[in-house]
Amino acid sequence: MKKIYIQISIFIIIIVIFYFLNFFNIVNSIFLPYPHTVVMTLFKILFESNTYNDVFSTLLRTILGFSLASLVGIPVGLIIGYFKKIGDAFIPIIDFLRSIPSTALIPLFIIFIGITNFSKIVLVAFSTFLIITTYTFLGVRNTDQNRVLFAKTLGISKIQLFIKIIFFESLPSIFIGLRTSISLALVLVIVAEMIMGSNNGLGTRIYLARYGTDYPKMYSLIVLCGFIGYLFNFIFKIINDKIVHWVGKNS
Amino acid sequence: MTNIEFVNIKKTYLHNMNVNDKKIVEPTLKNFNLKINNQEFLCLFGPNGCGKTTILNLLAGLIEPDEGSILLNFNQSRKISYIFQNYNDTILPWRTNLDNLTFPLEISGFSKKEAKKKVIEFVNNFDIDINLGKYPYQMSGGQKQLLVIYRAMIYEPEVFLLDEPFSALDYDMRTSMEMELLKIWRKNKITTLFVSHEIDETILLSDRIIILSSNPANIVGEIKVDLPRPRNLNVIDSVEFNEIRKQVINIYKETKL
Repeated sequence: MKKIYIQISIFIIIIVIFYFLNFFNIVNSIFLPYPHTVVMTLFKILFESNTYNDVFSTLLRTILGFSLASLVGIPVGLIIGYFKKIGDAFIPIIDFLRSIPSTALIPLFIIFIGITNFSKIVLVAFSTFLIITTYTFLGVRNTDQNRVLFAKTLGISKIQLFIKIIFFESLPSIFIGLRTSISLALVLVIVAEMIMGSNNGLGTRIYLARYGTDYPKMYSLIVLCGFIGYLFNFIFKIINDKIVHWVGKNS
Repeated sequence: MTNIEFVNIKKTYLHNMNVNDKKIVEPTLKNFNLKINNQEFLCLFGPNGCGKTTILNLLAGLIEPDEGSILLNFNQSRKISYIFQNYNDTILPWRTNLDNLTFPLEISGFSKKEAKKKVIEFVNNFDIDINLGKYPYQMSGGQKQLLVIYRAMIYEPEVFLLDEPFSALDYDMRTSMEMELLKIWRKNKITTLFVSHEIDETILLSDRIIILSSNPANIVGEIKVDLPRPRNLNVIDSVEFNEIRKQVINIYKETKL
């Protein structure tokens, strides 16, 4: 019970600081509206159907890109993790590509695919694919050897070993990769919407609000993005605890 | 009747210093010979790092000998249950207790349904006190140990290998596990090879004790344990038990000198 009080207090303190900065004109109040103005604007935009259109577009791009990355990334990670030679051959290039900040690749995507919806989805898919593959690979490689040895004493076949042991061993790591990726996917979609431009999407809306100096709206959209990110995390935590329930429990 | 025979086994481990620069160390086993009788409970007793685990690994087929051969006098299939020292790491945490018990059966070709049926039969037979619906991490250390032992038995192995399985337990837990193991062994009469460096445990459990020296592991003594079965903890106080204990210590002392 005590914990929740502290958490709420911190939240309130931050809001008070915002009022303080505004009230004493430390930050120009045009650029930093009062928190209650932001909240009211947020409620207002929540009653506009356009907002849902934007939320839907952003979510769709995020989820499509992320799903595509998972569908390809998990099998690839499993394969390069399991077959040592293939893994050793490919991991340096994957590591290198992963080290490139994904946003630096946006011009490349614009040149080759254009500024379409598809281009944004491919950007997300490509970048998160590398993360998911890497975490899956690491999961397979870090398989507990005791369980493998135990299974071998029972005369387990290679296929069974992979399906019944190695796959489950790599699941916790795969989920870390997926959780990291879904957050990054949202970031990339918002950035891509801002840079590549789009008819809809939260990134576009935020950009346009700033352009039109509608700062309360800009802030409320940012808060909305925050909620979506938070929701993603929340949903993933629930799925995570359900599927890889044994992680962190001493076994 | 002899069930297993090690003939002139040699095993050397290569310690990889570098990929191309392999350093050969002293053989762990050299000219190693051992006969294990059918349905015998045999203990290998010796100092840490003397090659006891190597002997079990060879028998389990996890490693191959450099020289010599291991003769098995049972069916072609090496149906062996092996409990590692770090048995905790062999539990499958993503499976319930029931599914952990069905695992060896699934591997040997039973369908999931048949495997479950067999496990439930086994559980009823042995009067087992484990909540099958729970996950291993929801159980105490002792229960997890039991789970591993049951999992090894369910497989109906021809040979049962145990590598210092109780070394991490406290005294109470250890003795109750020893009793439990004896109970199971009495029912199944499976040829058992038990590795230990605990003298009382060794005598309490075994039919025969093989005392090993280290590097390379040589048999320096062999003691028959004629204590009546079924045994319980009271046997530790008996004169015969202490006689055997003295013998073991004497052999141990002599090899050290």
